[in-house]
Amino acid sequence: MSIVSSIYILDDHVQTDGTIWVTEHHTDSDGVVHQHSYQAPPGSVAAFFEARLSASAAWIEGRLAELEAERILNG
Amino acid sequence: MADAYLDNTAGGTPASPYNTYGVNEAHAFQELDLLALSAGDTIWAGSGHSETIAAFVDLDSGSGATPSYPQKLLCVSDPGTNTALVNAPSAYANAAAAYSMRFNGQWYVHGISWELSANSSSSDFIFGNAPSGNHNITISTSKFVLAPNSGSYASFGPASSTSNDNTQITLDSCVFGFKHVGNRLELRNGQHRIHNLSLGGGFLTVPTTLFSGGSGSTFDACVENSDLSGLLFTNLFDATTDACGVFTVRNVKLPVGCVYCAGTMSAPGLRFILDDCTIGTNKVPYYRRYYSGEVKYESKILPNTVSDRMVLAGDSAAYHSIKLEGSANASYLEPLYSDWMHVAIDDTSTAITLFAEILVSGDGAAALNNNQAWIEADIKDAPGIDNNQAHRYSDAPTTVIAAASVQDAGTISWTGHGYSSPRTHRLELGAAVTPAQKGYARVRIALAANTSIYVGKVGVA
Repeated sequence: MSIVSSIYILDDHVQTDGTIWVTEHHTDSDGVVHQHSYQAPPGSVAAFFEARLSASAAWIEGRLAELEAERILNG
Repeated sequence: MADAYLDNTAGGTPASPYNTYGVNEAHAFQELDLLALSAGDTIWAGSGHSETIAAFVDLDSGSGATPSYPQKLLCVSDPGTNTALVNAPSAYANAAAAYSMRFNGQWYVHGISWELSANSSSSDFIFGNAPSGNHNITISTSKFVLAPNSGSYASFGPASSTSNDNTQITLDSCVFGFKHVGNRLELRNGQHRIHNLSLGGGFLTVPTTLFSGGSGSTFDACVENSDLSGLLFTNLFDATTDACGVFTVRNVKLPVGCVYCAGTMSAPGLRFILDDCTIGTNKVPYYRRYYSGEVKYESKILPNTVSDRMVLAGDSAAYHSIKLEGSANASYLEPLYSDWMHVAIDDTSTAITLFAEILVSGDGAAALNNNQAWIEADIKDAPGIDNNQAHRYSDAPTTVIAAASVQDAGTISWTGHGYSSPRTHRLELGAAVTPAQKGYARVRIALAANTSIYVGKVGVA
């Protein structure tokens, strides 16, 4: 199973300490959306969010493959 | 109970003084896998002990061990007297081939540096390995370095639950080093307490994910008072595994930008709780991740009037709202809840009601019904000084099939949102209740919709 699209959504405001909540949506080939969020440090720019998004997509894809293999092995 | 001695500093033979203990000489050992033990034995390891093992290391206390008489493996700074434990991992044990190091039964281990060196998915640390026995294992001031293979884990508790499993694993002041990005700490069946954990230990490989749940496991795990900022891992906890339990992270320093709880939960049995942590120089007072959504600390969107705001305990200037972000799984039967909040009750002569003021996220957001957002309260209204029973009250529809109604409009204004048409509500118990006991009433907010709300004020009216 692969991730076919990934997007990140910035909260519409920063927190008082300058951090901002970022929500990532990763859609797999079955159409399931895998969502999680993190707090980006103050002053984060697009390159940070994109690198983070790419790392998350790769990780989720790997985990889905592991879980699929586990399901096959365990019936 | 007897003493055994572990030291091969001299190479090939037990080092002095373990080779000159007279009657104890027969109990001097060079390798962990050669130990022949009885319940309650103490193994004294020399701080200079160093061994490379080509076998499984099974530290098995035997069925006769009890919590009162755990077997102990203690690294001492002065093996001549055995009066002082080392204050850093000292004695060294290395599994150089595809073997695991496993701890079973009742153990107290101190001051050992453990390493897995073979590139093998079969090389693991397993704290509580046997699937049909009880384990009570405490390990302090020790170091664990995982193997250079993605399948090499440190596993807490047995993999499969049986009726005999009753496992508690406690790690105090231990450090984990990694040699593959796929290494991780796996939380399996049992209760696991990890205190003063640190990462690295001279190994610079960064695991992608630090913790995950073991497939099919049930656990209650807690990491406290730890500095995990030494390695910039991507995910603190992997929620994708089909595990059940609670993972609590409290008073922990985390790397900047890490995802606290990554991936998608498969069912409501898994709960992630984070309190009083930091990322870099920024505080994370609380965060929750459940099947039904996330609970986040919000410091910008607040009630406009200072007196209407909530503050963090112990910091009267730390204003916050509680943001509830309902996932697609949030429903009337599986709502996203805030934590319980306590409201002091000092008057048992007057009927009260409890309320919360909320702001719905988004400009011009639609109004919420009382089956989408509501307040719940546990109030001790049963008469009699010896009756401490509380009853639960709510302004939600009484049953899942009862008709819903639109929640009342809010009575306070909010700041920090930038909305031209903010949607606010006041959630309030439908009828006043007269408390029969002084003490605390408990209040929480429920969200049963795939939307977000800010909870700004909770009080008594």
